[in-house]
Amino acid sequence: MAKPTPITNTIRTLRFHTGEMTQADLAEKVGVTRQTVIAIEQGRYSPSLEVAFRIARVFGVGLEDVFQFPEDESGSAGGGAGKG
Amino acid sequence: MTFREKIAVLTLIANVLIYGAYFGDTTLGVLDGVYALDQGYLIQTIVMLIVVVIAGSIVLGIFAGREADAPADERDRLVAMRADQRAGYVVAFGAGASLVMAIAGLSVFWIANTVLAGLVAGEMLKSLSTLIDYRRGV
Repeated sequence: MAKPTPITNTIRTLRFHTGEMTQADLAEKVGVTRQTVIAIEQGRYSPSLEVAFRIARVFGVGLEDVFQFPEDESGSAGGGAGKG
Repeated sequence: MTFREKIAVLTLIANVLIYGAYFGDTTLGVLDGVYALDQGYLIQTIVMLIVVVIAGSIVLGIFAGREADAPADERDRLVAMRADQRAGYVVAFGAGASLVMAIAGLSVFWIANTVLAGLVAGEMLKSLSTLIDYRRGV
């Protein structure tokens, strides 16, 4: 099944290192459904910036410690962003 | 499968079976040269669909427990919005086609059934879109 987003994340690992937090616990803390947490973990859904920050805050880490955007994707999608 | 996906499956199956029977009968009538709109049968079909979907949703809700009461989150709203958008194109096409038929002077039979076909196709696409987005991702 193709992933609709190139964004990867470390939520599963972070949950494991945070007292083996369940998906349901994370969902409740963030304010989304458990299915949405599952979809985010599997890369089937890119959350809004607000939810992304909430997830990072639950784990007490920065946004880029949770979500990663591949270099080649950023190069092609935003190649002109730093110019001018 | 989540509660919202089950509702989409229920709606899709109900639409296919109930409106499939209606349009099947209507097509057979046309083949026999009957072009009269059977208002009683049409209303009966619409009421039957509403009753089946409501009753089915209640049963699914009972088995879903707390999940059925959970408010929609941002992903649910996005999936619903994409489904509504896609269905809107089909409904608009059906409305446009029926308008052309009205201008061309076709009978109420064709216009009413074209409007209904657009609505039904839109609803089916909405259910399909919901299922695909939940499965494949958005």
